[in-house]
Amino acid sequence: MSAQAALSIVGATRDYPVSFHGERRTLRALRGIDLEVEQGEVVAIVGESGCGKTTLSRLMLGIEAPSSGTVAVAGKPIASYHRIERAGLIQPVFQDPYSSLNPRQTLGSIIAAPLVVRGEGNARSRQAAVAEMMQAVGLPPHLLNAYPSQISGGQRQRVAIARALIGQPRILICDEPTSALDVSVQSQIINLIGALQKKLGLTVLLISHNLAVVYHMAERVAVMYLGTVVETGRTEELFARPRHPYTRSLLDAVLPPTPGRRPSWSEAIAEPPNPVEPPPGCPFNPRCPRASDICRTEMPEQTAAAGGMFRCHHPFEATA
Amino acid sequence: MTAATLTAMSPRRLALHRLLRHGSFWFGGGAILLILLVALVGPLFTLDPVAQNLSARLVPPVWDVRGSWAHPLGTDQLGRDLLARLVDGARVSMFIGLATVLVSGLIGTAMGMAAGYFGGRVDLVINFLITIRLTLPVVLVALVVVAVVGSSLTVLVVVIGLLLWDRFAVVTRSATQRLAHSDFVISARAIGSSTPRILLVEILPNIVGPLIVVATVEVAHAVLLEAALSFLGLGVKPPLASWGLMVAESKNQLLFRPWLIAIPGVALVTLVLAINLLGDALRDVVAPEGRA
Amino acid sequence: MSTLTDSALIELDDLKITIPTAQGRVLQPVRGIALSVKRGETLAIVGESGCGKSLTALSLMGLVPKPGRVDAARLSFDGQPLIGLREAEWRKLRGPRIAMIFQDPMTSLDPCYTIGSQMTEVMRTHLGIGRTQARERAVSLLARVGIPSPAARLEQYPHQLSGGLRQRVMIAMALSCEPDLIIADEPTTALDVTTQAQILGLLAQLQDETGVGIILITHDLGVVATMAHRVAVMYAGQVVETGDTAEVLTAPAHPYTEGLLQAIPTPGRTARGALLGSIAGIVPPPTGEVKACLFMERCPYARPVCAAPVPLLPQDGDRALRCIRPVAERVDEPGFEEQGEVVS
Repeated sequence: MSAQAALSIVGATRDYPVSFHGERRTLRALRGIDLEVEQGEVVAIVGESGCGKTTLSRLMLGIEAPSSGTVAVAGKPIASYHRIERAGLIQPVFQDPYSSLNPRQTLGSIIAAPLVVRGEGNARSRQAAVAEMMQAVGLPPHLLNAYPSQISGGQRQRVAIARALIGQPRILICDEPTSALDVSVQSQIINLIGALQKKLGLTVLLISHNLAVVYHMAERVAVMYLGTVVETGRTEELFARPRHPYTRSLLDAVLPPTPGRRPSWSEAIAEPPNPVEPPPGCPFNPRCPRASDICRTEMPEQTAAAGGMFRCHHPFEATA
Repeated sequence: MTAATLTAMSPRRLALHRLLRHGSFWFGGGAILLILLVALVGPLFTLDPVAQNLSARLVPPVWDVRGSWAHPLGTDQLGRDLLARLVDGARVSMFIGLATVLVSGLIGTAMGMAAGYFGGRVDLVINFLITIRLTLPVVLVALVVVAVVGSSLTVLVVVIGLLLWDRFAVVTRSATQRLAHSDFVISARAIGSSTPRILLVEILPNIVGPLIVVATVEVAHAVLLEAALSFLGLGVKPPLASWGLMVAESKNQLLFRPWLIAIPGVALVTLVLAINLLGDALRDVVAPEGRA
Repeated sequence: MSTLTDSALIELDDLKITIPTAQGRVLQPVRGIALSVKRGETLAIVGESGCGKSLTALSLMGLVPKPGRVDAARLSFDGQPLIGLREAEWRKLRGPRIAMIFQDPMTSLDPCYTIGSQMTEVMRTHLGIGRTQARERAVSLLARVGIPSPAARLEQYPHQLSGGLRQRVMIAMALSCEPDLIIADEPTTALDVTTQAQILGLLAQLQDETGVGIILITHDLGVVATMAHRVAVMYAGQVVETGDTAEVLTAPAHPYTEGLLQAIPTPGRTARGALLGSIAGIVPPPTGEVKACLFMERCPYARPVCAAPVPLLPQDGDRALRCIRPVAERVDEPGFEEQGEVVS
């Protein structure tokens, strides 16, 4: 654990009790996550639904505790902070701005809530802070007393960002911050998060399945599959030369809005595995074109690579 | 952002707007307001509801040939003015209805929110309590308690209040459960809100709508329960007036002087109908709101 | 059934859909759509939420909800006019001739019935075949859309399948009566990216095999680029630009199309971390008479001349455009990138 790590996750697992065909079973949503994020870095966590990225974001927010392993913020376990201290360090922005704002509160009181909870300042100073924040995220001041139902999706996401940033946290966890928005609005939110990140020196964890957005925003990428980080690397390196077959299949599935490129269709389909009954060995082996016997029995160890690591018995060549 | 005008109304204005267009709201609300007004200021204009006048017993109402304006609705078998007693009874009914719902609403909402928000063991225990409460026959339990402890307005309010919280708890529990995992509650936790703040500031305002609807149903329920207990002689004690008691006191006169029963009966039906109409209107306003 | 491959399956001109509201106002979510689809061709209708693209699709199925009203200068399917068709006549088209695939297969499949009974019911109604025959056909259809162990799937309920499999079942059902046209409304929006690629690949392959016409409704220009032969870009209930997909996406002529393309981060085209272009403002409400170009308020190239209704103007080749300022005239004016800064 390096001294300057803003966020450090070591061997984190998270289990949920579930009933599976009437039986009590354990769903291991996270199966030993290691991730270190430095102050001011933008790191993307990429993966498909059910890979555990949302669970991971809850552990990082301290809303859920890991079943084993540690999640540390600024060198101290997240659980050791008082809730108000924690709130001052790390804040979320959620995917759906329709459900992340209380429909019964005005925008002004939603944005001011972190200060109210912390007991910071008086009504007047809070109002000034809200006005400043609204300007910073591009919300016109006359919306102060409006309700969430009266504004557009893009504006709601700006409100969510304003609420997250008013308490001056060091880390922002953006869980699919643009995927519920229209294309033309997405770019505004991407621009806004990017600008605020640079201006405030924020650490941003971008959780997304949209690789184009990830490529645009993130410096580093961690690819998750079935509760495991299967590959990490610097964005350009990872996009240009993925080592893990799953990373490559994700990249192959990206559909850029440039005509003429038909992605390679794969005829055979393999269903994503059930996280209650994960396959033995490498979690990706049932869907992997390169899988061999060892992949079906042994979980691959981490292999260090340029700027990151991968977990694969048969990786693609670094020079390919 | 160019001239972003607010096209939609705020949730509160929208609800009010819908309510004012609802016919049931005007009928129900109007009737309740009228009864409330009568209960509050009526006694200033009527005779003493407990003054007996044995020389003027069983005077028929004014529309009967033998009736007179001295007793517009006639008198009962003890010569007490029926109009005065009706007005006085309105106070009792209104008081019982509102006070019991206050008691049961507080109990039920608190239990439902706790069960819905905390889940797990808390939910298990509270669900068990709800189940137990649902197995108790309300009228029988109320009868037994009143018979043992003795009857007074306070006892009635407490007993009925303790018996009618179940619907509040059930409705609050499911509504809270739904909201407890919503992103805005998670956001509230992430900004460091305390649990009481989350429950009272974030969740409660979002479940007030369904709670008001339940409350109207339970007011009607409590009014009828009081009438039933009074009719059975275990509710309001004479000489205090209550519509249920008035029906009970005149049950021997059913065939000969039907107005003695019809008048408090009609009053009771009007009140309960009005409350239900109001509840219907509120439900129509609250239910389609969804996430707005 | 016509067999000419280049005959238009759907011809639609000046489509308007009006919906009177309870408050006595009249909404016009669709107010000027012109498009055509040929056999074996995929037309993408692309636009943002509320632009009227789904309603347009419903109007082709006779499914615009009451009290909505559909008017069009021309609306025909395979030469047959569709305006004023009775419900019984619609039912002969829906399913056997025009099939629909929705975004969320969970809501279009009945959770109470097995996949098998839902598939065979459709075929027995429209094809008049027996139970065993329908079952055999269902198995072969499921196999054809790449579902492993298809016979076993017939006994399963929708909730037992993953999202990708459910969408494959929907496609199999859509194909079951060999329709001439499939309308797919955001068929992959609810799916993961790798599953999306598979489903789109399946649709493209089935089209190559059967020559079915596809109308693909989407908000994703990436899906348009990979799937569509032609594209119609919609804004505020109007088609603002249509043409060959490659042409429209490489050289967008309407400012809205241009703005959309600049708003999407595209590896290789947009620089990492650079400001993306953005379209300021909001979509105008679907009410009132159209008195100006509907995009005028948000358009960086808007000039006083734009304050008049703009018709869909035919251009070179197959293209049409609803903008009176030629690209050459506005090429040096500040565009959407500059707006990107203003907005943030």
